[in-house]
Amino acid sequence: MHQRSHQPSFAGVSGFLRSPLADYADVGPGAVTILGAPHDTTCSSRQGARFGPTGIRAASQYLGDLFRRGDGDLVDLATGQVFHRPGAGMLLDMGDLPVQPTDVVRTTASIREGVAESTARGGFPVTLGGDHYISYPAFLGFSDAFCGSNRDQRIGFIQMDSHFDLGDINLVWGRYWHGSNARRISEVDVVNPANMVWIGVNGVTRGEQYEFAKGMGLTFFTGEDVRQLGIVEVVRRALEIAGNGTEAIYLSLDIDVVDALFAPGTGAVVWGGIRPADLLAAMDLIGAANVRAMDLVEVAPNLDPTEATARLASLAVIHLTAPRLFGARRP
Amino acid sequence: MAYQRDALPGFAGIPTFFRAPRAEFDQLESGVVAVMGAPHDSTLGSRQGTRYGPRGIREGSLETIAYIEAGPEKFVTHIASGTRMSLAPGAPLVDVGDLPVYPNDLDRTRESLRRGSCLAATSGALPVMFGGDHYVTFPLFQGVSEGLAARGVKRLGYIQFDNHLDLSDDNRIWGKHYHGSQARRISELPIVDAHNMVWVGASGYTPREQVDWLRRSGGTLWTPTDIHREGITHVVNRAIEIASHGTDGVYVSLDIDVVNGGASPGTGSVVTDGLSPQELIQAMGMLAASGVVRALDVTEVAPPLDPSERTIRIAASAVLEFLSPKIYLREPHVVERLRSAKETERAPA
Amino acid sequence: MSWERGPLLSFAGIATFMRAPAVDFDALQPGQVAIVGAPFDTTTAWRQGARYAPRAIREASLHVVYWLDSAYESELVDLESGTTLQRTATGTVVDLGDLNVYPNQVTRSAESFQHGTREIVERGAFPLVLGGDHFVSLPCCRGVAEVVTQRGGMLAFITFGCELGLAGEDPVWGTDWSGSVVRRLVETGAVDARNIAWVGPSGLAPRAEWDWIQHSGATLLTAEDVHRQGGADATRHALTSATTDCDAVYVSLGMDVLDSAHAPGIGPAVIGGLTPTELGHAVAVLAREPRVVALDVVEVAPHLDPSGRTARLASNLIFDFLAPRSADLSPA
Repeated sequence: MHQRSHQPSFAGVSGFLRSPLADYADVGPGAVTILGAPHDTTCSSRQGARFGPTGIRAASQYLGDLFRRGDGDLVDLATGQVFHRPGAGMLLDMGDLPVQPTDVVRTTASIREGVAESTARGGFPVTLGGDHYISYPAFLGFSDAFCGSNRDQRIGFIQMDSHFDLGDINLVWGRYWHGSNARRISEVDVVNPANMVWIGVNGVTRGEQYEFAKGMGLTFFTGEDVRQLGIVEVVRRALEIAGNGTEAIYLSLDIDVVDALFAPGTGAVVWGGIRPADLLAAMDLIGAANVRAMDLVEVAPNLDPTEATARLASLAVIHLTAPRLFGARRP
Repeated sequence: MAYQRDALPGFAGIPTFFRAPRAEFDQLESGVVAVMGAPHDSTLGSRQGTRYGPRGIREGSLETIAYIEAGPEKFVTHIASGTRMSLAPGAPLVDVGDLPVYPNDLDRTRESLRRGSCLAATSGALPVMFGGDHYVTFPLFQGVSEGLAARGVKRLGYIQFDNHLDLSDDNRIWGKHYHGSQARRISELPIVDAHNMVWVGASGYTPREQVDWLRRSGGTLWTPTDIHREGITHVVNRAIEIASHGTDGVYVSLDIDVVNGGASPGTGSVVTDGLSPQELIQAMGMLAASGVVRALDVTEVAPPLDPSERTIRIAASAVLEFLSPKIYLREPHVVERLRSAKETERAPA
Repeated sequence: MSWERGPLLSFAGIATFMRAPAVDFDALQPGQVAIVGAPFDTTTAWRQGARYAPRAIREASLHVVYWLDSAYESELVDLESGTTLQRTATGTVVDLGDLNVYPNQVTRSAESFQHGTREIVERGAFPLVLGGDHFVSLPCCRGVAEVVTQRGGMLAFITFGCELGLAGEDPVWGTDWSGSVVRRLVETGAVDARNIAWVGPSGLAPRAEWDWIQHSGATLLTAEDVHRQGGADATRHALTSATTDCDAVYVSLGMDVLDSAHAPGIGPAVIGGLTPTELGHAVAVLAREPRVVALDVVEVAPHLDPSGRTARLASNLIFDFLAPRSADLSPA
């Protein structure tokens, strides 16, 4: 019989980090579940985020294969962190959730249900966008399953992003677009605005969003704050705020929080963004706290011929989920 | 019922810079900012594409204006400072389109650019001009200085943000007029004294003859290493002091290759160290605040060399930062404490 | 009146590196720098394209030559370092063209590169090899090592790149491929492990390879070390640690040591890599190390870079390296 042996990194059909493609029945408690949400018709900047899930998976294959060389452990040359090979069943790729490019209502329901299903089975959902709008249905799905009928529970919210996405209504885009996902999340009953934090906002925002942020007592740290205070202190404060009285923290990561020099593969062009090393340090710190779900959005691989943006996104997922996947530790 | 125009996304609509109204030269007057393009690129020895600079910079400005126009309230807020910015009323900014260029007739092109910039300066408008390769700065400067001279200006200072000096005198291939020589030609004009000329950001291999001239002439240079050491704030303050000392104003010429090439690859030259986009934008803000700048050009933007489209956005944002006091009204954003319906229903966590 | 050749713009003319004269092996003189291409990228594990680098780097070098040739006075000075480049007619730098390459035959190509590099050194010239990917360093360094060993000397190997090149036998690629260069140099006896130094690796590396370094006596300066110490000090550190008892040093300059943000034209995606400034400071130290007997420049994949900057960076670094040794340009 034909034996399938090893393949080069550019070959083979597999999930994120060479994980198996799985179905909901395979999800067990603590498994990290990758769910693609390739929706991008509510993106008001440049196009391409629909290829985010594919691009991130492709960029992760090389990393996935590194684990099979030697004894499976990897060392981060910059920090000395050690990562082990994911345990069996701990990393599952659920493929992509169905999306309807011209029907945001159906797409919202589809993403919401997929993330809820994975969460209900004990999984840690990692939803890959798509544009940042998908964060809203992903959050809804997570909170549906996590809280169930117990609506007195509270979920803290950290958004790493150059933008607030606190828009209410837009003359061109309406109420549901990648500028309103955080506003819609703030309206969910299990969210207290006092537990919402932004890290990395930069530049200008529409006046009404600034008013909403300040007026509602939301906390934000600008890119400059990160440079002045250091990422460790900023994340420490963010975790305090998001963790205060909450049963879980949800992390939403928009890759454009990283400076355009290092992450050009995204629709918005941002300077004064944070550095890749700071992003990964933030993922380590948040991953060690009570985070129970994340999304990673706005990777548009076509806009970055170097593939570095998609590779950085893969690394962000690895660092955030490391305690669950590998039991990562410093030597 | 008549067709109602609505706000448009940034990729739609016919691009003028910042969606400013189109105007003709005879409509220009004092207090107006006149944007114009000079898509000339036949005097560059690096990689091509700067003929698309004017169109590219215009396109790079559209996201910002589209963002403002699509909000229900037409203002934005600078997050770090809490400064509210709304569009200034009236039409302080107009776009007069591109000046004619003649790719195989340099004399004719030079005359066209000189005449256009002169008309703008004579009217009292503030000329903001987009290249094209950096040679355009010579005829544009000539025209601006002639127009300002008609309005009483006797001396002009010059600040060039650029990875190169462009102080070539004569070149075996190009002769005396190309994108490596415009600063030398400008230094020879009677309205300019080299002691009022400043170069910010030049680095890399440079013909010895140019370096020696700079030393002899009394011009001032800050390399990227100098800027990293002294800080952009100090450097720009000093540059403004030097260029405005004893002059009636300053002409600022921005070659986009002053920006670190990794951040801004869309330019013919390959640059390994330079200003960050943030530093450039800060510099533009300081120049605007100084009140001494009488004209600005932006050159060497080559959009085809940058598929990530960062370069046109950096260039446009630099110009918008420079124009900010003219195109925006600014005030502190005062926010009332809001209480949502949810909060009043239940006790805080 | 006969037709006279004049200076050319960088898009014109047949590109040899620096417009140096094209020569063959039998014309090589002792003391010359021989540019030679090894356009081979068959064992690249991810994105290909380094086979186009020799041509792209030659073309990129024409820009500096155009500046020198078109100025009436022919000296360039670096505004920050003060390094000068001049036109002289000494003919120190020559271009041997590309070595024979057999894209689907790893062993045959390796033999060609090893033989060609060895012959350059035997004739007393300095091999400056334009790769190709990291694999070409293996046969080229072995070719240099053959001559150094024959003469009773010891060779050190200093390598810049994002990965360690310590892969063992791979179920897909076998023993000799772009990921196994350093391990094979040690296993075949070309270089002693104590005389190996890496400058600039970043990202995730297999634990087994990390452990090997700790026990082997080899020297590792990661990209993080370079960010902390600066390119010059890190390189001096590498030279000090790895070149005791060595009278010869082979330097492999992998452009994949640079961060993808600054060097889009490389195969791997590099995060946390070096800046061009850091690498420039490193090369300035190497340029003044008299024991360097060979240099390769690898891992440029020019078609991956629409801005063309990566090939130009490689070419500029070669000029920086050559400037103190041979600041020379022969008229076209």
